[in-house]
Amino acid sequence: MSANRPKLLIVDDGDRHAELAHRFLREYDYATRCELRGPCWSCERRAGCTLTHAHDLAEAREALERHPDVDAVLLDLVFELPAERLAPSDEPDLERRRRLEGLRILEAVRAERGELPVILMTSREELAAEEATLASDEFVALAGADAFDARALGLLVERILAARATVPTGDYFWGRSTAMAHLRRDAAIQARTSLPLLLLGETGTGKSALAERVVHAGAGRPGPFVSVDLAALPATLIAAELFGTARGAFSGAVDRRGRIEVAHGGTLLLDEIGNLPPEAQRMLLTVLEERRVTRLGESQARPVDVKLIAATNADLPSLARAGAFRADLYARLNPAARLTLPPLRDRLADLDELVAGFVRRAFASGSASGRDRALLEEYAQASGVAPTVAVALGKPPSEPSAITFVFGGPALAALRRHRWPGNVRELQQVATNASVFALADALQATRRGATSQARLVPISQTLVRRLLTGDEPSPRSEIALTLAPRPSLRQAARELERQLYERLFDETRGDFAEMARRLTGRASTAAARQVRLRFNQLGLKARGRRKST
Amino acid sequence: MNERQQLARLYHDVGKYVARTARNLPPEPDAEMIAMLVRDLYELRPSERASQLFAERAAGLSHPALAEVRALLGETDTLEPRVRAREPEAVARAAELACEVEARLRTLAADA
Repeated sequence: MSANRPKLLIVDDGDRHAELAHRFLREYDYATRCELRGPCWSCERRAGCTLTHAHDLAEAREALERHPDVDAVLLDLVFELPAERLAPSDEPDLERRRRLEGLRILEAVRAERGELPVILMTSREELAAEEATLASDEFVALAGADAFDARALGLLVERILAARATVPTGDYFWGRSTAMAHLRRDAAIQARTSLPLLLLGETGTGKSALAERVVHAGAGRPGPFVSVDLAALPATLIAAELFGTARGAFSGAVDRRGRIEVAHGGTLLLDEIGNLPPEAQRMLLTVLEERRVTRLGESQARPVDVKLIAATNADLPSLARAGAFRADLYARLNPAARLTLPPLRDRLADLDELVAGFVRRAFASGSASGRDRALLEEYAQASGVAPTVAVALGKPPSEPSAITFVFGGPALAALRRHRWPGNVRELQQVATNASVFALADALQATRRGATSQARLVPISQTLVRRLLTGDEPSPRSEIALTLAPRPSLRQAARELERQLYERLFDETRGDFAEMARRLTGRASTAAARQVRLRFNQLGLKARGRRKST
Repeated sequence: MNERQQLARLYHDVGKYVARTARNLPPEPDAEMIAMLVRDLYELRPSERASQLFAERAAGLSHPALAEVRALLGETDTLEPRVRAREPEAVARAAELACEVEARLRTLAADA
């Protein structure tokens, strides 16, 4: 909901609904000054008003463009149509033709701002006549005697907005696509049930974030959110990790709670559930059926209360048909109520806002990457400006008040053309890397005294394209490490460290200063020397590797 | 347009709008609200009373209940000078009649 009072858009060819709302919704704390002539935004007395009135589809679109913070749309269903728009072949039933205009507007609003609640103000007869056309989950109706009842209208608006406010979102970005609006509504419903939830979607679409920030946050359960990435665990360790162990279950086993027990009272996300080994599938099915978990090597079952969320980008029905995934477990995962996250290529309308959000998040105080924030503060100090961030998409602002990252038209076009196989996660990496690289360049330029406008940090198309094609070594690249069990933690840690240095060496083409920058945030000679020393201590050879690359 | 469609339009164009302010009128309406009521009853279209639009939309319909609606709207017309003069009794009676017109037209449209 908007920060202050809720904002309403009334779409009605007449001014009666708007006048009623202006006059009678005062009790509901809406500003109510209006001249009632022409589109609302041209009204000289508009300041402070939270109602906007559009007379047709074109004005409704313009209103939504001008007022993106509208909270709800009140829509009349029946519109008067000028004679020139009434072709007999269109619809012989004139009354239906008038209703179709309202339906057309409803469809357009749903397509452009799928998350917005729409209240149809009409009669029950008109609703009944379009029963086959209207999807009941796309609107709420204020019909019959309530159609012009200000109290009923006010209460309905309040109820809708209150319900929206209770939908947990955290910092989850929903965007404006219809698919995401449906997802938001369904996720809020799913959060309230104790049934398992199946999350589907390509890699990087935000399944884990949705599970934690929306479903778990909305469930209001007292226990923790526990996430297990089954693709990152060796198959031999999965059962012990999930179900826990009793001392003596196997060599070196100790009494330990599994992740299911840890999640007791809360939510357990099993990411990449398709990677669950057969024996663990059987054990998980038992947990779901009996709400009890038995540690490996133990016969006593312990009660557990866990909201299970299973996420995957695999085709579980196919795996079940092939015998690789238990059909009875798949059925237990509540597939009928599955939620599917759309790939980024299907919600490109959200791309601009996602880019802006990721850049702001990268440099926010207390962000996950303190290094990016440190770079921003270093730049701010060198430039003599405050370390605040803004993002401009398209043209740069003439008088920026913050350090403004400018994604120009060509850079944005390159982003929009990309297919985004890694989806939102890939976009986050590209947007963050682009802004970090550009800021680093700007810092160097500032130190050389070569900047004219310290508050503008342009993101070039060339940089974006290099990042998209992978030509630029990425400081954010995710490195997959594999590990077979080692006799000791020390040896396991050393092996992981060796793999990390090896991968970084390859990615940076043997640039120890760059490796140091990625590992420590410092690229000084001393840091590079330390990294090189450790590289050698790990038994890695620089010379042969450089030649091979 | 068949009778069902005509009654639906009659309700939409007259019934809904005639009671717009009337159903929301507080016991002591202010001048702004009474001006809205006047618009609903006597200026439903520019210089066209609700009774005139009703007569136009109901032309050709023979349902007996329509005569009662016509009579109710006739009574509101007789109140016009007093409503415009903001006489409380006349305003209250006009609002009552408007709500009655809305209810009857709604029932007619629903039963058609």
